[in-house]
This record gives sequence, structure tokens and C-alpha cells, in this order.
Amino acid sequence: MSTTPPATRPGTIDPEQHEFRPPRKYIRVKEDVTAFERSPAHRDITQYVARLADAVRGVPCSDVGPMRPIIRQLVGLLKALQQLVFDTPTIDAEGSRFGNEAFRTWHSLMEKKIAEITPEFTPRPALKEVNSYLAHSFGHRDRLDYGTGHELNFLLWLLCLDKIGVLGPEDDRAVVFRVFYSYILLMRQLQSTYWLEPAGSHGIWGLDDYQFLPFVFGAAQLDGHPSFRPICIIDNDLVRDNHREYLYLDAIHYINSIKTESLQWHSPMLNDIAGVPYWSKVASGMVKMYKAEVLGKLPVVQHFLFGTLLQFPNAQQVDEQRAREVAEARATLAENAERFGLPDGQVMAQILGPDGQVRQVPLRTPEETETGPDHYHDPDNICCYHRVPSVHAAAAASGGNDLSISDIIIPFD
Amino acid sequence: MSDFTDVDRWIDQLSRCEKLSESDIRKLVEMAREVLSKEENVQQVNCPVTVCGDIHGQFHDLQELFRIGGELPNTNYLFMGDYVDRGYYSVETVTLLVALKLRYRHRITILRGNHESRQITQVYGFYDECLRKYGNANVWKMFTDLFDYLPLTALIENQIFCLHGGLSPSVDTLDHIRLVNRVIEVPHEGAMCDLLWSDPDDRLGWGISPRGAGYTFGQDVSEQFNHNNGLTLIARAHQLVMEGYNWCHERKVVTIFSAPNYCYRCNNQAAIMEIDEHLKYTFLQFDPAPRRGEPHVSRKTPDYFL
Repeated sequence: MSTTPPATRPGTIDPEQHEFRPPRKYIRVKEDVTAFERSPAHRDITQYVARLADAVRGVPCSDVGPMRPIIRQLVGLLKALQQLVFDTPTIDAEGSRFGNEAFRTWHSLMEKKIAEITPEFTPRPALKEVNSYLAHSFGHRDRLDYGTGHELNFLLWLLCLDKIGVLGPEDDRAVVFRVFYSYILLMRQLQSTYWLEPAGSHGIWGLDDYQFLPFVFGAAQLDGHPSFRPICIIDNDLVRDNHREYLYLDAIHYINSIKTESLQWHSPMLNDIAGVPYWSKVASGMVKMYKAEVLGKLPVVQHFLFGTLLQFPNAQQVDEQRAREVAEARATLAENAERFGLPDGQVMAQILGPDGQVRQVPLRTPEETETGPDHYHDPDNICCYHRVPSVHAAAAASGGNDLSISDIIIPFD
Repeated sequence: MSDFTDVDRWIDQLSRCEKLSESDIRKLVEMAREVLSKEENVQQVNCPVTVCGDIHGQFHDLQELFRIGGELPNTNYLFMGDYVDRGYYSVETVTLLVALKLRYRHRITILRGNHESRQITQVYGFYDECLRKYGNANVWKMFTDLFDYLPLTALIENQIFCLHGGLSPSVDTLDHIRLVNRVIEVPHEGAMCDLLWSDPDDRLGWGISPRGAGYTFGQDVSEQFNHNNGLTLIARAHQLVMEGYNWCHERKVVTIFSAPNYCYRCNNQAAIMEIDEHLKYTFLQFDPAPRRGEPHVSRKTPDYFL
């Protein structure tokens, strides 16, 4: 099946006239987050979230309105990915730790499937850049985990489709009720089938272990509801009877169904928010919280991919600086290869031991197992932006107590 | 003879899951700093001892752990870090463990985990919890300052090496660990960071950790380290495991995780490892303790929603 991409809409980017490139990571330190927060990319994201929330404000899920064929195509893609879950049973692996390794198979199949289906609605020049976001939406292949950073990638995929005119404002309501909700259902299936670990969960001190946006859109839906107040989420019967119409109640219903004990125990944050008098306050608070806790948090956005549709400020300067670093790192690698008789490109960590000895340690890098069309890394000392330690940094760390918290990437746990 | 009047009162109060006052915390932390600063980077521990993994503020499950494993001082304990973050009662959990350390200093060892850090606790819950329960960050400050004194590793009868995360490419021998100046915030790299952050891996050699700190290490690394140091086993925590414990590297390494049904959703069992006087080990698994009533914290609107 082939469909001709629609003619360019006013105000959108013409994919045939635009030079795309595969997106990559730019955020390494706190200052980069600040730069991102002031960027047009950040503004575009928050405006898009607001647009989607407005499109469903006061509207129950069944009132989806007219749907263009693109909505069915996007939902069809997510259905196809769901079918892959049925086709990829879990592996009964002896001694496996937590997440099921069959997820890696699903992940590879997912990459193939999106490469197969997305050209039906995505203009060919945009495919690589736009699909990167989609491929990063379903959790981490290696770590077998999933969190709000992955959910953000799904939003960015939709935003990119909007920017190149595949989607438009008239699709917003259906995007939330059909496309985004299909994604949530797929994610629940992936979480429960393969036991994806909550990525970077704040535990009970967070909103939810996995999702955020259902609360943003869901609160907007309930804004102005004639009888439901935020406190209604503690009424299990009301939640059960109405969860199909309201994403917020659906999220609560799902949490109640999988978590033990009561909401007060496992979700004090949601329980606190239930004490807010009006949904309008909940809705605006959710947007503020999303900006601060997802878009403003280094552990999340250090994985943010920037390309031509969502640009990092002064990306070109950063690229040039990084190219110099890469050249230096390559020279070091070549030197190491000669000095230690290593295979070309072997990554070496120079490590200062507590005994004062500098060691050269050959390292495996994540890319040795983590391959796939969506994976981009620089062949430098910053593989996938997990920094290979340098002797200088190790020396600084072992010599000084006043390690600046603001200057370093927050490791992930 | 030390006077344990205060400490006994604190333990009694905490065993009802009631937090201590800020002034009591101040006293407790000062006393604990004295005790912990005398411990080694590689703290010697004798058997019998019961080895425990991550707790993450699951206070009721910690009480269950003591019911299953036996109460102090009749059972000796070694905890391998991650007392705080994610759970409801990080404050009560870490206060109780520190108080028990004061009361029975030769019967309980508490190591540092990667969450016993200023930086990590600001992201994953302990900071917010302190703010919520005390109205200011003083208690968080006192505890995170104390965390700098926690020992990094322990050595049971010179044979079983215990630590939170795993091995480091800058450490070949236990003597290297003894050289580390540990009284600092967990650094972003280097030996101390690795010991608290690394994970064992199916692949051989050293690898870059997807966590962004520490390394992954293969069976060859574990075998070499155990051989160099005359060890039979590395016991570590740091990773969620379905059964509460998980062997790897052909039983050279074991992971122990002691927070059951992690985050109220993971459905995992918790485990502790009992090591008897002949160094034989037995794993005790346990399920979540039932929560009674409602948590002791009243509803408070987060700032975003005011």
C-alpha cells in the first residue's frame, strides 16, 4: 500500500526542500539544560503539549470527532507493534535478573516494522530524523527499562510529524484519544509482558513509575466537569465506571489494578493532588510539573535527541567543538592501539588508581551490543554520551572533595 | 560503659515508625559520625552474619526482615547500602539503622550505597521526604553529611567481599580500597564511585555502564579479583532481582535485594543471606509486610498545584 504524502501545509516545513539529519544528543551538563529551556525547541514542545491539552479540554474520550486517514495509519502502526508482542513470547531464562530478554527481540522487530510502515505516511527525506524519536519511544533495549524520557520521545515523534505537515491541528484531539492512547496501551502491554523496570523512578515520590502525559491530557479533559472534582480519584467505583472516558481516571484505574495497597501508600503524590479543589488547577499544575520534572531534569533530557526539527541552540558551534574532541580522541585511540597492540578503535580508559598508578583498561562499549538503525553515537570518548573516564577527571575526583554537583551528568539509577 | 538511654528511647520510638525530632537527629548523627569514622574502608566482619541488600525506605519490610532474620543483637547484620529514596519511610529507615549501629556497633555494619549521596537523594526522593516531614532540609543535610563516613566495603572472615555495586578497574586488591579517602560525596568517577555503581555482566572484561557511572565487569574480572585477594565470593546489591537473590559469574558473585514488591509494583521477592559460623550460606526470601491503616503523612498540595 502506498499513499502520497499530502501537499505541504502553510506554516510547516516542506520535507522535499529541507535538509534533515539524524538527531543526536547535546545535553551533558546543567548549563545545557538551561540553554535547552530557552530554546525554540523547548517552546515548540510546550506549545504542542498545550495545544493537545486544549484540544481535549472538557471532552470525554468517546467524543473524538472526525478523523483523517492518517490517524488510522498511526494507530495501525501501533497495533502492528502490539501484534509483535504476541509474536514474541517471553523467554524463560534461568538466572535472569528482572526484565525479560525477549524484549530485545521485540525491540529489533519494532525497528524493522517501523522502517517498513512509516514510509507510507512519512516523506522519505524526513524518515531517519523523525523515526529516531519513534524508535526511542518504547524503552531501552539493553537496560530493559522504560520511563517518562521514552514517553517524551513519542510526543516528539508526533510533534515532528506535525512540523512536517503529516499531522495538523485538526488532528489534535484524535492524536490524543486514538494515537497517544494506543501508545499507552501498547506500553502497558510491554511493561507487563517483559517486566520493564521503571527507568529512573522516584518511587512513591513521583507521579507514576512510567507515564506522565496521561495526567496532563487527562486533567485538561476533566477541566470544567460539572460534577467530578479532583478528589473523585479516591472513589474506586467512580474511577472504574468512568475510566474509559477520561485518561486521568484511566491512569488511576490502571495504577490501582497493578499496585498493591491503597493510593495513599503507593501514590502519595496523586493522593495529594486529589486535595486540589479544581481540575483547572490540576491541569495547569501538571503542565508546570511536566516542564520542571521531565523537560527540566538532567537525568531525563541528557538523552534528548536534537536534529533539524528540534534544534539545540548553537548546535553548529557545539558540533565543531565536538569534532575537535573527536579528532583528539581518535588520535589517542590510534596511539593506544599502537602502544598496546590493540585492535583499531578499541576504547581505552585511562584510570588513576587509589595507589597513584595510572592504568590503561580496554573497555567494551555499549555499541558492541546495542546496534540498530536508530542508534547513533560518536566514535569518540563519549560513546552514547556515557563518558569514558579520563585520567584528568579521575585525578580531580580523587583529589578534591568539592566536586561540583552542577557540572556533571547525573548517573542513572 | 556507654549510656544508651537516648539510643534505646530512639529505637523504641522508631520501631513504632515514628520519626525522631530534628534535635534528636542532630544528636544521633553526631554520635554516629564518631562511630563510623573509626571504621575501615574494608570493614572486617565475623560470621555468623546476615547480609542484606537495598531497602529504599520500605520501613515495614525492614521490620519484616528483622522478624525473618532475627532481631539484633541476637543476629548480626551487614547492610550493603541504599537505605533511602523511592520508599515512603526513608527517614525512619535510615534513622533506625543508624540508631541500631550506635546501640550494637559490633553487631551491625552499614555500608554506603550509591543512594547515600547528596546528588542522588535530591533526585530520587529522600530530599523531598525530609522537606515534607520536617519542613526544611536540615535533616537531609545532617544525614547526607553522615553518609560520607559510611564504610565502602566489608570483608567477612577474609573470604566474602561485600559491597553495594561492584568492582572497579582501578582496584586490583583490597589494599587499593584501603587507600581511598572515603569521607567525601560519592565522586562521579574513580574507585569509590565504581565500588558503589558497577554491575556484573554476562560479557567478559570491563564495559562502560549504561548507568553513566561505574562499569560492568565480566566473569573473568570477578575470578581474577577473587583469586588476587583470596576470596570465595563477592556479595553485592544495587540491582532489582526477581527472587531477591541472583547468582552470576558461576557463583563467584551474588546479588541480594531486600526490598520486596519494589515500588509497590515489581512483585519481586526480597532476600537476605545468612552466613553461619562455618561460612555456609542460606538465603531467606520474604514477601511484603502488610501495611496497616494509612501512612502517617497528611495530604499536602505540591507547589506546582497551589
